[in-house]
Amino acid sequence: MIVPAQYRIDRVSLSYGETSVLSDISLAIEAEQSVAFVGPSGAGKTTLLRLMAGSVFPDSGTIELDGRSFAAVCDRGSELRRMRAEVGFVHQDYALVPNLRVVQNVVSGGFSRRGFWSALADLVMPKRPLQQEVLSLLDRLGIGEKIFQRVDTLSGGQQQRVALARALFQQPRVLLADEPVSSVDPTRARALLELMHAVAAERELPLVVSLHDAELARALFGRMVGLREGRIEFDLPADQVDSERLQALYALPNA
Amino acid sequence: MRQGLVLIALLVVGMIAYLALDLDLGGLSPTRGGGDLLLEFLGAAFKPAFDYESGAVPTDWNPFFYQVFAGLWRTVVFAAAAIGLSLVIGFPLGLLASSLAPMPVRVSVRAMIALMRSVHELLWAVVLLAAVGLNTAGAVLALTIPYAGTLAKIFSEMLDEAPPQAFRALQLAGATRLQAFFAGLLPRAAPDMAAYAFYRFECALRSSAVLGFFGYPTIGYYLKLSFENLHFREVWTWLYVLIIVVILLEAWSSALRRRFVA
Repeated sequence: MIVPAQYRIDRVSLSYGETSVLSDISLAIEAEQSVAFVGPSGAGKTTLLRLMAGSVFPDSGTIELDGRSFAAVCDRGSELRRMRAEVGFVHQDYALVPNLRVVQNVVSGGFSRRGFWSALADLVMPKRPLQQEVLSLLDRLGIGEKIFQRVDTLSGGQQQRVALARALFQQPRVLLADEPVSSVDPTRARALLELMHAVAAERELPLVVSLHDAELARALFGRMVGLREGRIEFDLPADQVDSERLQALYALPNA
Repeated sequence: MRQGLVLIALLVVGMIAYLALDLDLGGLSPTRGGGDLLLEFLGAAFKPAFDYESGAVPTDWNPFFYQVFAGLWRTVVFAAAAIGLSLVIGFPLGLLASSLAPMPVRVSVRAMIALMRSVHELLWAVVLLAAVGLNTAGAVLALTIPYAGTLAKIFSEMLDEAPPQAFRALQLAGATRLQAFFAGLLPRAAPDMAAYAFYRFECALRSSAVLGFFGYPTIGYYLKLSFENLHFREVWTWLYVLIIVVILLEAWSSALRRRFVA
């Protein structure tokens, strides 16, 4: 069985040129937690997720997944890839290949654990056992019958599930999602987030999601981290986050 | 705005060139004999030849329609061989000329591509004709050098313009750059690349036909012979056959394109 993952984020700061994006962020995320990053746009939610995925590296401070730091391997290709493969990431724009079939998109999530040629062969024609693996995953997400359809023939919500399937096919130890429901209606948003919770719980994965809808976060997540202008405003169990805190978090600068 | 200035600049350059050449459009009016020949030539368009125009054809010559078919076949084969080889060479060069390749590689490959492209296929044919004689491989090579260069240039631009989200996402998922390229970037550029390669096949077909003027056994060779013998109806037969093939290819490629892109 997979040992649940642990994140340690310690005094992390990042700026792009003169602009400070994140300053002095410290967080610990334990196994089986579900955490929502909330806050106004530009608060640094996406950047924090990207730091946690090893996509960007902090100017100062450390980000450790199970005691190993991303920054320490940032110039060692194969070790960085191995660490990145442990983090499943669902992108806001899905980042799928629209003119390939669902099965090809999902299979490409597992490339990190395959050799170059077998990965290429799987892309052209996935072998039977692999197809079965993909199918059972898609069935779990409720889109099994779409396995051989082109992604661009699917609805937004279905594409979202394909993106989730690709991230899960990676066999990650943690699941991150950046504004996963920003382009679906409230009912579907809720259903999708519940589904993400369910599959993360089945696999004992910590789930970390950025959401601009704080009410949705309060209803579904165990823990909420409020970000504003690159700083943590609060880090509380969701049932202790009251409306006053949220109003303060989303208040316009000069209001 | 910028584009408008470029167009105006081109027009101005055109006018200066017009003056520099001291063009006299009156010189375009044909001489009396030339006019008759022109009329005869245009008239032949309505009655293309279905057999040799000359009555005195040696008995061991193949029938005319066989000749047409064989000439056409060789024209297509030359073009297909050249495009096939151009793809094999042009694709890796395109990848190396794209922004995916490290700077020094990209710059030197782009310079090489520019060299290949800057000399027209007919000039390559002249050079290779002098170097290796009237040789099938020479003709294919003459087409391949500039075509591989052009494919490489356009492919590299298409790869650079392809949406990179999936390419980046796969790398973030632990795939190598090359894996992410084949799974996330190439599929997005592939429909455009295939359509463009098909368009270049059309161009190769025309170039292959013209190569016949140098003595290679493509349509151009027979076209030239017929023309020199003033067998204008035969000339039109060759032209019509070429036009039909190009139109068929065009229809096929646009059908494929609709399927790829839609």
